[in-house]
Amino acid sequence: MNIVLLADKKIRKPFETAIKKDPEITLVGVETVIRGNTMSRIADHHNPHILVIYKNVPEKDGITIEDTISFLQMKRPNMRIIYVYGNISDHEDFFVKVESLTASGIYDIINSTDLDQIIKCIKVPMTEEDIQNIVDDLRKSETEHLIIEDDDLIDISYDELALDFPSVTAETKFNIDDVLVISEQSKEVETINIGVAQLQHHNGCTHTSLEIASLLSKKGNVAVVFADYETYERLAVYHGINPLSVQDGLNYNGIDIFPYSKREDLSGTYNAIIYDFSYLRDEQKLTFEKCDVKILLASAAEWDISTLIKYVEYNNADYIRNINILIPRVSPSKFSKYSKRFLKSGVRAYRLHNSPVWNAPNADNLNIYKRILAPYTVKPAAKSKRKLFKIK
Amino acid sequence: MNELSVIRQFSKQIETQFDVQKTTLYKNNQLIIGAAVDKVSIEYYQSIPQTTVFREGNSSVLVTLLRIKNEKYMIILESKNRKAFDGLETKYMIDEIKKLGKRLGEFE
Repeated sequence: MNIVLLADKKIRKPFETAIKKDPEITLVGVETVIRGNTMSRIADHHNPHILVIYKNVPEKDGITIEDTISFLQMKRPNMRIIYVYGNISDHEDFFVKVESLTASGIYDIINSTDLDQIIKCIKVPMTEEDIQNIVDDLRKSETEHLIIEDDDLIDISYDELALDFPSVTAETKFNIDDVLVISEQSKEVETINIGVAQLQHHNGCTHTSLEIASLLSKKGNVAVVFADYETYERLAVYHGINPLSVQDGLNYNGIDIFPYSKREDLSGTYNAIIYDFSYLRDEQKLTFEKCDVKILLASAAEWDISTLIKYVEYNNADYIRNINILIPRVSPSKFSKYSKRFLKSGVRAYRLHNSPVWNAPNADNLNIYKRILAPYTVKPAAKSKRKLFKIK
Repeated sequence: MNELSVIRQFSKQIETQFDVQKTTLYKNNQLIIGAAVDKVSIEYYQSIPQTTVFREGNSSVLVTLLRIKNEKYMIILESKNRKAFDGLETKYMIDEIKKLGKRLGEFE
């Protein structure tokens, strides 16, 4: 089938490369801007079976994407239009766009920039039900209030780690004159060890570990080690596998997962090892401390924040300043209030966003993980991938 | 001179006088000049308690906030030099940012 791409020029190359791999699809043209003659070039010159339009294609001469779609639907009613919305950061904006496109009979609306997903959509059209399910899921998560959308630190000017009430919860007035310096050193490691733990149960430790694994697995071999054997066992059982048959590990969505007992066997095999410590137990604290990157999930609920404050206060300053605190289920304003006080003491905290599907994490969460991992460069030695039992 | 011209003039001046290669300014979370910053960074920058210099890799970023009546401005100055925004230089820059604040106040 013949397709035309209408997208910003930076999309062109990766798109062409991905399309070339598929013999069933022929890219007959690429338009990188919407201007006066774009519509006639698509309709008359290229005349493809399918037009793939990316959301942020530049518009010139006052002609919009909507104008283009409307014109092409009139001129070429049989031409399929696939609209690549990309990752959703603003639900309302996405809903408005879906409403307008579905009203024009367009149901191929992709809420991702993943080229495999776009190619899949080219081959198998989406239905009205598919797009409605996406919208329903997003709305459902909103009504459940699950979405609150909207290194090293070199101490130069931090306050002491004396976080207490009411200093953390009080409004802090911004001080323009004093300067806080937060300095991160670049580091090169052969294998990056990432420890993810949580201060209270059910803060999403395993979910976060797998989200990070999903991000890193695109660039290298990643292993996730479940410190809590029951979690490992339950994952296997959920997928109808006898846990005893996967004592050596299992592969789930391309990510190798191991029970804690196997952690010693993993060195030299992976570019990244993520330890899901779950609730941090004393016997595992040393392994957590040794990790290159330490992530601690903590609740900021009114009944939980004192636990976090005590944890910060009662631990060694160097240790605490090397931890990245992730706070789920917190409003932006509340987070900002707490974070101001934390940052003043050299403690870094980030607000986690709702991200129900771990292998397709929320874009903002990915940016948080990228920010945390930015100082690290992994220079891997030759690695070999293990053959593990695969969950399909 | 309107608000945007004043901001542009500030940007040009700060990039000429100091070791700054890029100026980004947000007003109430709306990008006014410069390149858009991701949402996570915006949220992180909004939670700084005071003017903050981030030294990352081979570059430095100075972030400060201005509140003028009901308007919130976020100023992000980027340098390709890790050692930029040091000592007195930063004090002078903050003075320039305060002057900008006064001029912006005239529009509110």
